[in-house]
Amino acid sequence: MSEVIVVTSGKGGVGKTTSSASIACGYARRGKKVAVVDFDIGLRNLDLIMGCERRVVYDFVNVINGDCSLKQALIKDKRFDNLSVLAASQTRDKDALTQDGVERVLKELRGEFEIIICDSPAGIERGAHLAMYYADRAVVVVNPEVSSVRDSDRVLGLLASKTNRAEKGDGSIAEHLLLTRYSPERVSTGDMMSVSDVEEILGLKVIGVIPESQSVLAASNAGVPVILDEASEAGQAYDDAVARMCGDDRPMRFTELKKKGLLNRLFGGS
Amino acid sequence: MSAAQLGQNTATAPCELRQGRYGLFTVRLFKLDLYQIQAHLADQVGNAPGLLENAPVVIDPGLLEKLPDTEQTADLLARLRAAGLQPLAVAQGPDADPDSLQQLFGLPVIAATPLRKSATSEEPDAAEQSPSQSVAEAAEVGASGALPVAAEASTPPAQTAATTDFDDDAEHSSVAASAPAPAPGSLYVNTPVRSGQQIYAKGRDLVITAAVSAGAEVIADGCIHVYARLAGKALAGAQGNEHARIYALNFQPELVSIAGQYRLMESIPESLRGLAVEVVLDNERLDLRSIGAR
Repeated sequence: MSEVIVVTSGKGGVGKTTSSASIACGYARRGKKVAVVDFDIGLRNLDLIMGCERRVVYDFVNVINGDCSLKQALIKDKRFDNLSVLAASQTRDKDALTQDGVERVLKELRGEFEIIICDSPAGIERGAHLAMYYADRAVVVVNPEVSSVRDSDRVLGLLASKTNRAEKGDGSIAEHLLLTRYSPERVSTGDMMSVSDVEEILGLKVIGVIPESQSVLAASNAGVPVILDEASEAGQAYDDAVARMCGDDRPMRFTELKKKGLLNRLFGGS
Repeated sequence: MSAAQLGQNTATAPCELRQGRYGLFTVRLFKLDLYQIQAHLADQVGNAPGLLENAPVVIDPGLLEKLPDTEQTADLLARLRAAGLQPLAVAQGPDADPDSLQQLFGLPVIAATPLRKSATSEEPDAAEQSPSQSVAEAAEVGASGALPVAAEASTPPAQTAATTDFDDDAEHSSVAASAPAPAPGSLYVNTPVRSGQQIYAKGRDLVITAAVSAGAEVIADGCIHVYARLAGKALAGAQGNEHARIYALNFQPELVSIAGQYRLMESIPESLRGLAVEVVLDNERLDLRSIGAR
C-alpha cells in the first residue's frame, strides 16, 4: 500500500521544502521506501536541501515529457538507500506539468515506493493544485502568524474539495497541521500566535511544532535535512512529527518557555 | 456605513444600491445626475469590493421623473461599468412599457416588484388561485437562485399593479401552494467552511455545526445557524426574505447581511465579539443581540 503525502501551505517561505526533506528522511530512517518529488517547477530547491543538486541530470518535466525514464531521473540519496529524489526543472514553468503526466508519474512511483512526498510550490495555482490533487494525506505547513494561518485555511478548503479523492468521493484526505518557526519566547510576550490560537482558528490539532532554530538554516545551507541533526531541537521536533504521522504517541516538546535554572537566574545567563 | 443608513439619506444621494431578489443588487435611480451616480456607486463598491466588485445589477429607473434619452442611457451604462458594476437587466416599473425599456437600455426587462398577492392567495389553497398566477409563480420558483432570465414573457397583467412593499408571508404561502412538494429541509453542513469556500442554501435554511473561517461565505435564502465560530460572511434572506435571521454561537463575522441590509465587522460592537448572537432585520436596520447564558 503506497501513500502520497503532499506538503503544502498556500503561503511561501513557511518551510514546505525544509519539511518535505525532513519528513522524507524521517520515513526513510524508519525503513520505508520513500520518494520525494519537487513540484516547484522553475524554482527548484528541494535538491539543494537534500544535498543532491550536483547529481541532477533529468528532472520531473523530462519524465512527464518522456525524455527519459523515471528510473533515470530518480536520484538516490547518499545517506539512505531507500530514499530517492525527483528534482524539479529549473528552466521550465509550471505549465509544463500536465494532469495526465503527473498522474502517470505518481502511479509509477506508487509501484516502486511506499511513501511519496510531494513538495508543493506556494500559491494555489496549477503547480500547487497538481501537487495536492492525487494525495492521500496532506501536511499543511503553517507559521504562527495571521497571513499564513489564513492561507492555510484556504488550502485546507481546497484539500477538502479540489482533490481527486474529494471529487471521486473516496473519503477525505487526512490533514495534518505542522506548525513551524515557533518561538515560545515570542508567544509569551504576545508577539506570536500560540499553538492553541492556530489550532482554534483552523479547527485542527497540530501534528508537530518545529521551534525556530538557527540549525534549520545551517542544515539547509549544508544540504543536510535538519531532521538528521539530532542535536538540534528542530531535528528532534521533526522526528516527533514523523513518529506521530506513523501513529506513535509522543508528547509535544519545545512549545513551552524554558524555565531558567537556578544558576542561570543567579548569573543572569541565557 | 451600512446599507440601512444609506436608505435613510436617499434624499441627497442620486441613487441607491440595495440587494434584492435572487441576491442581485438593484441600482434604484432617483435623479439623473450621471456624474453623481457614478461617484456614489464607485464609493459603495470601494467600501465593499469583495461583495460588490463586478456584481451584476438591475437598473431600476422607476422613480425617475422621466426616462433618460438614448445618449444618457449609454452614458449611464458606461458609468455603472466604470463604477465596477455589471448592468444585467432593467427593472420595469408599474407604468413603463417593457418594449421601449428594452430598446432604450438594450438589456432584458424584468418586473420591478413581485406579484401583488390577492387576499385569497395568502391561504395555502391552490384551488383558489387563478391559473395565471400559479403559472407565473411556478416560473419564479424555477428561476430562483439562477441568474434571472428576462421574465417579461411570463409577467401576468396583475404584476404591473404591484406595490413597492411586498409581503413576504404571502410570497411564501403562495409558493408553497403552487409547489405541492413540501419545502426542502435545511441544508446541513458538518465540515468546516474554510477561507475561499462558499455555501449557498437555495430556498432554505442553512445549519452549520463547524466553524466558518474568515474569508468564507455562507449564504441562505432562509435563516443561517452556525453552532461554532462565525468568522466569515453570512448572508441570510439572500432573495429578499426580510424575516430571515442569523444565529452564531461564537460571533465574529466579517459581514452579516439580511435581505441586502448589511453590516461590516467594523460596525459590529466589540462587546458582542465571541458571544452567541442573533441578527434580526428590524425596520430596515440590522439588530444584533446577544442570546443565551453568558
